[in-house]
This record gives sequence, structure tokens and C-alpha cells, in this order.
Amino acid sequence: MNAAAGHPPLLEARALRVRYGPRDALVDVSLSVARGEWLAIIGPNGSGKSTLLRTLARLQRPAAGSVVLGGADLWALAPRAVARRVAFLPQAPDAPADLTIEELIWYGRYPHRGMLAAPAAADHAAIERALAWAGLEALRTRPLGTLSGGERQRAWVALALAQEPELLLLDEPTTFLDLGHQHELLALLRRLNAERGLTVVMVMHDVAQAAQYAPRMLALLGGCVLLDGPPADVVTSEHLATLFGARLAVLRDPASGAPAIVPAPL
Amino acid sequence: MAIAALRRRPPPAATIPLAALALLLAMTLAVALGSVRLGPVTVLDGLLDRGDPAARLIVWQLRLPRVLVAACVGANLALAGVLLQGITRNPLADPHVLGFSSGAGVAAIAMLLLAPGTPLAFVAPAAFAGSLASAAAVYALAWRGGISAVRFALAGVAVAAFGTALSTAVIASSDLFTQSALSFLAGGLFARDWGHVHQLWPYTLVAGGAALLTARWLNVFALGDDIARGFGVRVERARLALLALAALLTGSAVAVSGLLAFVGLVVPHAARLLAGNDHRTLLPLAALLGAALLVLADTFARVAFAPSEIPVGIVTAVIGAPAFLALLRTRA
Repeated sequence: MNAAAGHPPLLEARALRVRYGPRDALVDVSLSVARGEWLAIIGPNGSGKSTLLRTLARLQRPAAGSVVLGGADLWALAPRAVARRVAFLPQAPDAPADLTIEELIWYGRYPHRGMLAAPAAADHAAIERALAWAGLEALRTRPLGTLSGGERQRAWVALALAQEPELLLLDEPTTFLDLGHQHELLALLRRLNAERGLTVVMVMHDVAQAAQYAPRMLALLGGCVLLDGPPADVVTSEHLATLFGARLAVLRDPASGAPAIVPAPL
Repeated sequence: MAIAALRRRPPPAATIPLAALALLLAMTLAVALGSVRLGPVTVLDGLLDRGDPAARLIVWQLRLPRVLVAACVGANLALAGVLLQGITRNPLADPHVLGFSSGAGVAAIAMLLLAPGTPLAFVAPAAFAGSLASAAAVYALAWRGGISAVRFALAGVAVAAFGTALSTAVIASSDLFTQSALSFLAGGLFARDWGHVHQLWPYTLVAGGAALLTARWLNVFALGDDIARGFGVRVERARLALLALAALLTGSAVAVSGLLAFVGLVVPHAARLLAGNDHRTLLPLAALLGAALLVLADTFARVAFAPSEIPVGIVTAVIGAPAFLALLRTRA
């Protein structure tokens, strides 16, 4: 739609193939993400979700095909130039326990500063904005080791925000969080997407949760794109049977239309 | 609030002048102690090259060069330990454990025993080459589309064992199965003079200075390879550069001191306990503490059993092993 209006997509993958040793992790994956979109990548274990995300983040070089960021080939750009536009949050990031939230977030300015440059006003402003978005102003001097799982994950999101990216890539950001913190984090992403216009691509394990928040879903199976569309089209019991090899029924919350997935009655 | 926002938590920088003071005291003590005990005034006179000629000789020709060698070796090994622990994210990494020392040792000992007339100035480059070779071997053995900390450590242990065996073989096969060869294997600073100082200090200055400049890299590495790459760091390239730097620091130290265990392992941990994980503080602090520790250990090795002396490597191992166990217990 944006492309029709003359805007190139923010991110495009063209016929990606990624090999891990003898086998193909991605076979032929193409997708296009417009500025301001929120895409959830789902699929069974080993379907290539994380590999796709890592390839989009320039962490994995494709054997064939290309990733295009804002019209330029990702691998033709300098790593730091990419880092100023794309932030990647791995699944279980780890940092020294005595690092404070603020110290952690400052690393997000790394791509914007020289090795020895003193922090500029823009850096301080970015740190404050990131802290505010993540609701961490009051905890800024707390060491990571003293935080709850939800607070720590918000700190990592704040680190990504301090990078001031156009595109945020997250690998299963709700893993290891309890249900309350899972929704708190996804609500934060929703606000970032809606109010800040941040483009979000995330890998999600929980299909129902992904459907509840992301307006668009991409389902991978065996390294290929099986489905790409709005949750209502993607999350059906037939598709889930194909993807996960399990008999599942999809119920809809009458109020919100959000799907719930339960084992199908035999 | 605005002021607080503009300021990061200040690094525990106060530890650095304190460690510098400790090093100065350790060096003064080391120059004062020995078969002839010198008072503080005599030491000062000797350092200023005035007063009693005998004291001047002891200070300038015998004790000071050895103290300076010990300080440089200690600083080099401690810095190499911080670098290796930082890039592997493995608290057990150190130049000795990962085989960097043993590679340097093979090269140095082969040179000293098989080509006895070699000028001293060639030993350090040879040891650096040996250290670099074992670093390359460890890297190649650990590489499988990427480097994992565990594979790196295991490959290092294997290379270290192989290198030590090779050194022993070189010593055993030469006619010069001497006290000095044994003291090389254990790590010793017996009769080190100005020639050794001149051979070592440029490495400490240049490689040590370069190591201090890598603090921000190491800090980013602490967040994991993926995060570092996500920030635009060319991780493999940076890691290779840091490994080469660690090899340079290790090789130059081993060339004059032999295979000193535990300094590169224990000192970085002690520095972490004092100043936290920020490498901007950690690197200079570890260098100062490593220097002070080795100066004190060597003084002990020299005077404790006078008139005979023991290799300082035995002292560092005797201090280092229990210190390391204590660190394990407090940090685990």
C-alpha cells in the first residue's frame, strides 16, 4: 500500500536462503515491512523464525537473496549505520549484575558516538526518552541484579530505544516473563508502535498473544513462508493443524475478537 | 535532577590512585629488602644516585631493575587476563589457562636453549610469535561458525597442555638441563637486570596503553556477541585484535619471566571485587595491582629463604590458588 503510494518499504527480504551446515534454515523467504507496521513471526520450533529475525538484523548473512533496508542492501551498509536504524533484542540477553539500568541504556548510544567522544546533548535526551517510555525513571540507578524479570526486560527494551531505531527486532521478548509482565511488555510495544511510529518485527512463541497485539502475522514452516496476513486470516484451526501438527480449536473473545487457542475436542 | 541526569554513576576511580600508591610502597619495600637491608633514606639516596656507593650499586644495579621487571610482568599478565576474560566472557580465562603463556614459553625456551647466543632483544618477539601461534591454534580449534566461551576454554586447556609438554621436551632434550630452565618453567625473575627491563618496558607501555583504550569494546562485549553486533561492532575483527594484544602482553612477559601462573587469573578478579565490571576502571586497576602483587611476591621469593631464593612462580601459585578458591566462594 505504501509502495503503491511511492514509498519504498522500510525493510524488505528478497528470496532469502540461509544455510546452517548441510540444511537450509530458510529456503525462499520474501517479505516486506512498511514503516510503522507491527509484524509477528510465528511458527513451530525449528521453522526458521529466529534465523529470519537474525538475518533481518544483519547478524546472519544469507546464502542467497538479500535484505533491503530503506532501499539499500543491508550488507552494503556499514554495521554501525545499520545499528543507528535497527535495534535487535536477543531472546535471553545477559549483562553484568552490577550494571545499573542507566549504565546499560547508555550502551544504546554506542552506534551514535565515536569510541572516545563525550556524550552530547542528543545522547542525554535519548536516554531520558528511553527511560520514560519504559517507565524506568525511578529505577535508573538500580543494578540489573536487583530487578524483577519484567523490569529487567523493560530495561533491555529501553536499551534498544536509546539506539533510536526506526525498526525494532525482538526475539521472543515475553519468554521468561509471567503473564502480567508479558502483557505489560506487549502493551509497551503497542504504545511505541502507535504513538512513536516505531516499526516492530517480533518472533513470538505464543500464537494467541501475538494475534492479540500484532496487526499482521507471518507464519513460517520448514524455512518457508506459509501465511502472511492479519491474525483473523492466519490463526485458524486448519492453519494451526498444518503449522503445529496438533488438533487445536480457535475461540474468539466476543468483546475484543482476540483469539484463544484450546485443544480441539476429539 | 538535571545534573543527576547528566552524570553517570561515577566509576570507583578512587581505587586507582590507591593502587598506584600501593605499587609505589611495594616497589620501595622491594628495593629496601634483601641480604643487605637498606633504610628508607638510603633507598632514596640510592635512587637519586648519591650517598654510599655500595648502596647505590645495590639499588641501581641489583634491585631496581628486578623490581621494574616484576612490575612490568605483573601489569602485562594482569592486563592480558582482563582482556581474555572480557572477550571470552569466561571468568576462568587467563593467559596461562588458555595456552597463550605456554606457546610463548615454547618459543622462548627453544631460543634460549637451542640458540644460546641469541641477543635478548629477539626473545620477546619470538615469545610473542609463539603466543600468537597458540592463540591462533586456540581460535581455530574453537571456531565452528562462531566462538563459544566453553569451546574456547577447552581448546585453550588443550593447547596449554601441549605447549607445556613441548617446553619440557625441549628442556629434557637439551644438554642444558639447568636450574634456569626449571625456573623458567615455574616462572622466576632471578638475576633480571637492565637488559631485561629495556626489553620489556616498551611492550608494557605500548601494548598496555593500547589495552587501556579497549575498555569500551570490552564493556560492550560483556553484553553478549549479539548485542555487540547489533550495536555495529565488528565482533570477530575486534576479538582477533584483542587476542593479538593479549598475546603481545603475554609473550613479552613470558620472555623475561617464564611461565607465571595465576597472576592473570587472580588479579582481574580481585580488581573486579574492588571496582566492579566497568573496564575503564578495571583495566588500569588490574595493571597496577598485578604490578604490585608481583613485586611483593618476587621480594618474598628473594628474601624469605635467604641466602637461597625460590622461583616467584611458586609464590604466585601458593598465593594464587587459595586466593582464587576464596574468590570462587565469595562470588558464587
